[in-house]
Amino acid sequence: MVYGDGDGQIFQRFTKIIDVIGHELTHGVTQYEAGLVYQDQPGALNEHFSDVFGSLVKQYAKTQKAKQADWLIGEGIFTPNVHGTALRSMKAPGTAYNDPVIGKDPQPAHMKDFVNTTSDFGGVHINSGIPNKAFYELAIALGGNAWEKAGKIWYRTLLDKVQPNTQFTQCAAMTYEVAGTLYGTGSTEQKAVKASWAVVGIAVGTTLAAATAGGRR
Amino acid sequence: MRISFERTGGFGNVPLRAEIDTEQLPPDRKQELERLIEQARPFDQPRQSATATPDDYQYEVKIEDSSGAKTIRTTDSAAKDELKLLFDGLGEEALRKLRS
Repeated sequence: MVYGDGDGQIFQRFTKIIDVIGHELTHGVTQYEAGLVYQDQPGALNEHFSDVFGSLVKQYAKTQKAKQADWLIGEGIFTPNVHGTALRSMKAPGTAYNDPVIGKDPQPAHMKDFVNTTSDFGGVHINSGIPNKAFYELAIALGGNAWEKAGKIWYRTLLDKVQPNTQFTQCAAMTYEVAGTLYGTGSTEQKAVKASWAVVGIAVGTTLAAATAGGRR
Repeated sequence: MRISFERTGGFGNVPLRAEIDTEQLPPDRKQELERLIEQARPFDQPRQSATATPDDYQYEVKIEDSSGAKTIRTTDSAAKDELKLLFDGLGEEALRKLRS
């Protein structure tokens, strides 16, 4: 877990932003509950779960419903030198900043734009935009407070299903299975999970084999 | 001496990359970088760190001189203090280039 004091040129102090705190503490939960390897797709899921619960902590603290939330990660972290509102946007990955010096937010929002790279531990902060967008879509579809249903599905998935080398499609199948367990097979919630992953180019619900094979309990 | 520097990762993953030719630097900064390299001995340690701490910085540095080119890839958590000082020095040069 690393916070950082910022460098005063690009970043301000990381400890002053509540979703950053939630993000970092979630890394601790993930490490002990799922042990997601911090590399490539499992690493991007590790980052994704931290962004999800970081954002939910912020929404809970502000008593915001899903539609009211900004879904930004690290809003206000940049110094005034940088053109950008935040580090990442779960609502619109790839749009959080665009600056002549540091460049543009590199996050994709769809599997067709998945970034293959050796930098950033295999793009863990880059490709996390894809599941981040799926979670946002689910939270908006279900309405109300995002932590009540969407957050619960993700939390049970992280605790009960995710394994160290879980890939995006497996994770999607796991959330679908958990939604069925929590709210019923064929429920509105389970259908919304499937639809949300479809938005980012990941098909689930055709088989539970991946989730069953990947489940720990 | 030519140095290719890349820092990625960290909470924000705003990449910092630069190609640095020490011959093009003012004498004091050239001397300082060479001192940091000599002190850090970057190639006397494992090329690839196995450690991967969430939101850690990942560094990839290639140094080329008359004797050839070598690359080191490691993380902030895994690097010893002397190496961190070198990365800081290279990071400052990279930021300077970006802003120029």
